[in-house]
Amino acid sequence: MSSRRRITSFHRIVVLFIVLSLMSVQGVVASAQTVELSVWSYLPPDDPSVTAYIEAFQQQNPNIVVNYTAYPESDYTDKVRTALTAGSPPDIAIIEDRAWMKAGLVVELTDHLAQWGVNPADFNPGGMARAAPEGNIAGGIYGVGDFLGGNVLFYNKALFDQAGVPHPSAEQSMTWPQYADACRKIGKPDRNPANAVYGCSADPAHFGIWQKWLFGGDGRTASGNMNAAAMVQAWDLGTALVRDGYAPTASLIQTMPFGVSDLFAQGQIGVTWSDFTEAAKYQANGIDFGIAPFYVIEGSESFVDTWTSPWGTFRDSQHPAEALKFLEFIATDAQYLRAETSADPPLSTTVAQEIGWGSDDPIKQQYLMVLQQAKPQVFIPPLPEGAYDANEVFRQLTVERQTDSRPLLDQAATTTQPLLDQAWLDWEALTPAQ
Amino acid sequence: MAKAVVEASIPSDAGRVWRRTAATMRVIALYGAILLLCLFILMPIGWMLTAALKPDTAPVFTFPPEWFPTEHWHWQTFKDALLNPAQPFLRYALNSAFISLMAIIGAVLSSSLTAYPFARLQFRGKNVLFTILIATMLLPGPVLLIPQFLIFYRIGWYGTYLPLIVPWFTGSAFYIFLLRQYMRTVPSDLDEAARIDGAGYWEIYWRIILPLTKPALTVVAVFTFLATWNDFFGPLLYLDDQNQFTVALALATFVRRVGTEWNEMMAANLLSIIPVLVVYFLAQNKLIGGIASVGVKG
Amino acid sequence: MAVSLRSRRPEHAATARATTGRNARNEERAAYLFLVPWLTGLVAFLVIPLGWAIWISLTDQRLLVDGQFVGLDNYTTIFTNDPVFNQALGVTLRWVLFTTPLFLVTGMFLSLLLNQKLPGMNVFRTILYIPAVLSGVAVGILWLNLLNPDLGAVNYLLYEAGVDNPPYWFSDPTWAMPGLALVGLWGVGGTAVIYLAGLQNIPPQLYEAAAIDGAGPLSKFRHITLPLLSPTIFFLLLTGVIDAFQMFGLAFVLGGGADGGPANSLLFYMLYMYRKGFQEGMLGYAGALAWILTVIGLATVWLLFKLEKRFVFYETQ
Repeated sequence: MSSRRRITSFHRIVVLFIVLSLMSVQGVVASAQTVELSVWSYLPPDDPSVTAYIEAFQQQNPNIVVNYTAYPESDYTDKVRTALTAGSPPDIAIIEDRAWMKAGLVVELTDHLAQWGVNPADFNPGGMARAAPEGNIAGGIYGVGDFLGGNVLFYNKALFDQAGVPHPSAEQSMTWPQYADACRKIGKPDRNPANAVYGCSADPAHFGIWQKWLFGGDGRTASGNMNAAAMVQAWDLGTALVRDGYAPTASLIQTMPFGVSDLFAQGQIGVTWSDFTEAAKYQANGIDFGIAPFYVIEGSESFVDTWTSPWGTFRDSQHPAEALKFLEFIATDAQYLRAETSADPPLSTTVAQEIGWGSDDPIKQQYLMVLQQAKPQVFIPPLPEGAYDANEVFRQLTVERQTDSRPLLDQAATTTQPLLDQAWLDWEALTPAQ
Repeated sequence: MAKAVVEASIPSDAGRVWRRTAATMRVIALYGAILLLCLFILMPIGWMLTAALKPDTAPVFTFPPEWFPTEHWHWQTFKDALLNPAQPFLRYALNSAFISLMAIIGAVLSSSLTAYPFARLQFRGKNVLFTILIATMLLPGPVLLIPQFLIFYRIGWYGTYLPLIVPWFTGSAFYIFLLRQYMRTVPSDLDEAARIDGAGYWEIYWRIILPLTKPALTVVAVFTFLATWNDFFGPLLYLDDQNQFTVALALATFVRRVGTEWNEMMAANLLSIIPVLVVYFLAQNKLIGGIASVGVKG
Repeated sequence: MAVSLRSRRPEHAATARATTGRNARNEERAAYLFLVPWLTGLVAFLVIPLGWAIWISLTDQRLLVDGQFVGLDNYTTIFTNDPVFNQALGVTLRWVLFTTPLFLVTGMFLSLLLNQKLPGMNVFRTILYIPAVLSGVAVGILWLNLLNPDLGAVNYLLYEAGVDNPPYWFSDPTWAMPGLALVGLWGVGGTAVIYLAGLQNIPPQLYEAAAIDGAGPLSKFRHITLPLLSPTIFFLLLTGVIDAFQMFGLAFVLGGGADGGPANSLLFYMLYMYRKGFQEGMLGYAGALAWILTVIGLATVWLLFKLEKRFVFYETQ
């Protein structure tokens, strides 16, 4: 009798082990007819545009089921890269790393676009440049974008008027001296951030927002550009603003969910930068704002940075035919859906004109006007650790409170030039594997 | 401190008064120091609570900082943190709870199963195996990390809870040692008595030893709970799908994400702390006793 | 369970002990059956990984791509061509050497304070132990905000106390580690409680006897408290050093992920290993890093055990 009881007790534990191992068995349901298209990106699954695309695409193609996976932005590129290295990439992904394009891992689309009756010239050139390995679509188009993103300046009209500073022009970028001057006139520094009014923001990444300023027009010359007089001036002026309290510090920005955008929405900052998706928030908060092109270093033309997130497919993807269908969808129908489901204009200028994007909204019209100052961005191959790090220079000037940026930028230029040369060599050595 | 010197040199009456004053001052100083330290511990937690009770419209960071909630009692923030569709901490808490529960079952079972033969049975190789047991307590973890990861990855357990749970079912050296020490204090007459009645080793283990080891088992359970609830590294390595995240992993992932509302983050942080505090307060005597006994015996 | 009166008689107790052949084998078999989970775990999660770990560190293993044997390449790169490794090692060693004595000494003083026979000490002990049960992530998130340079409570207090330019804490390479140490100090109650147990194990008669002999408090501390507390100190030193080498969670939160803080000032060894192995995917290289840490750790532990022989006094001696 006792031995029978012993078995039952042991039995329970054995059953527990079995249950646990069964949990690892995954049921696989495969249908011969439907194709499962794997789509990866960093946009959350409830993103309105993404949901609209998936729904519409699946309706048009009943035999294709979209399996959408979202990774947090910080992990996304690593995840795709890992899958690529293993030879099992997703069918569709946002092509973040242009080295993949250069190495021939991404399917080239020029011929396909012609087949679909899509003219590349219809799309905004600034955005399209992101779909080409070096920014030149003549060398190959490797992705299709659905929206036109643009970083522009937003300024608070009331604060400008109060300080008696003329509004920034929508047709001409302010230079750094002009920008800093306006900032100091508008800002009211205060130890207590709740009471302070900031004139403007000085973000380390934006001293070189047009990479031409840092690396020259060919993207290969750091020395002489990174530490040019105009660049030194920009850094000196910008970081002085932070040190003196006219521009918010990085740690202050960290305390706000959306950074400087929140400050602007609260009416506490005179000028900030953002892409167009934030405009609705400012409107909702009753801020009377205007839009202007980005500030530039002295002697530079006006500038607005435009971009897109190109969707593409990989050479090693499992379902090439279906993937191309998806890309065709992005290039055509998705443009209209994007305009309906997001604040951005579609990447296709033709579509934007066709639907009269912004014709009903003066803010949108102002945005379009400012976008005319967009210039092609210069391509730089990825630089290794140790090269120019804007955050590091910024930290030395604001946290360590150094006041002279010249030696720091000279140093950065000297260290970066050889690394840049090597990076170009590595980049050019990237050829499609046979 | 001043006592001995004072006793020797001042005549009795004045001496008594002086002594009492010195003693009182000493007590006041001690209490003062302790209270300051307790404030050092409690005020940050109070700040967190204050921040968590603020609505989205109120600034979380104020000048001067608010240490205790006075103006805002917006309990809704906790609900928002739990049910936020983009980062539902309720789900993460349930995930953590599941993992902890399974780990506790595994730890209690496997550690006691392993401790029992070391405490009660004779067998060849007992000393060797016991030395090995002690040695594994000192083994640094990092070197096992990568091969373990690869093993789990290869057998398809990546992206599941299995790598976080199954190892708990194979015994942890620290708990085994603790339980073995405790089991040895259980009088062996009871064993003998049961054997006479025809009980096998399993019965003795299951019906006699285990119930009598309950206090030590509680310590094991509490420790395991703390270890798994707070564990961040394991989930970081093995979990991919955001819906599977544990509380600790979710907190660490979302903390610097653009768009994170700080009041909600503080609420979520507090939510992660509350179960731990509850368990701690309920079990503190056993817990501190358990830790202390290891520290003292070395 | 009912225990029959019959079994209380000593003769039965003697024969119940299994010393004879068949019973001994039964006992042995039963023992090993009980040990199956642990032994399985040993093999699956210890022995096999340990062996494989040696192999991995000698290959260029990546996550999904099997490694080719590269001999000692990983190790040579680490030691000759990896400035980040030097940084990570430096940060970790600095942390171990700087904070271990700090926490040990502070913990001891705190325990002396808690050891006073005053009412309510239990409550204080409970409160002071709280940080020790909280997760590194939760503590990190809390202090990330308390030590915010502009709006954090700590800098506010410093400013009010007259410090014009309070440190930038986790934005400043010079102050990042001290900031981390401050967070560690917040949790020193954990160490204090263990000391406390050790203190309470010292028989008060020893102190009384010493007092009669005219010993002052300092002398009592040196000749009674310290020696009798030395096993506890040793235990805390050992665990403290091992923990310090493996610092990860807190640094992850405070340093912004595996980035390692401003100018890599919080790039602890484990963070670097995680970054190399799981973000950059170079598992072979990370395996070599792991071995180097292990060797350093074992060497330190060995050193500490040598110190134990010299300095730690066990009552049985």
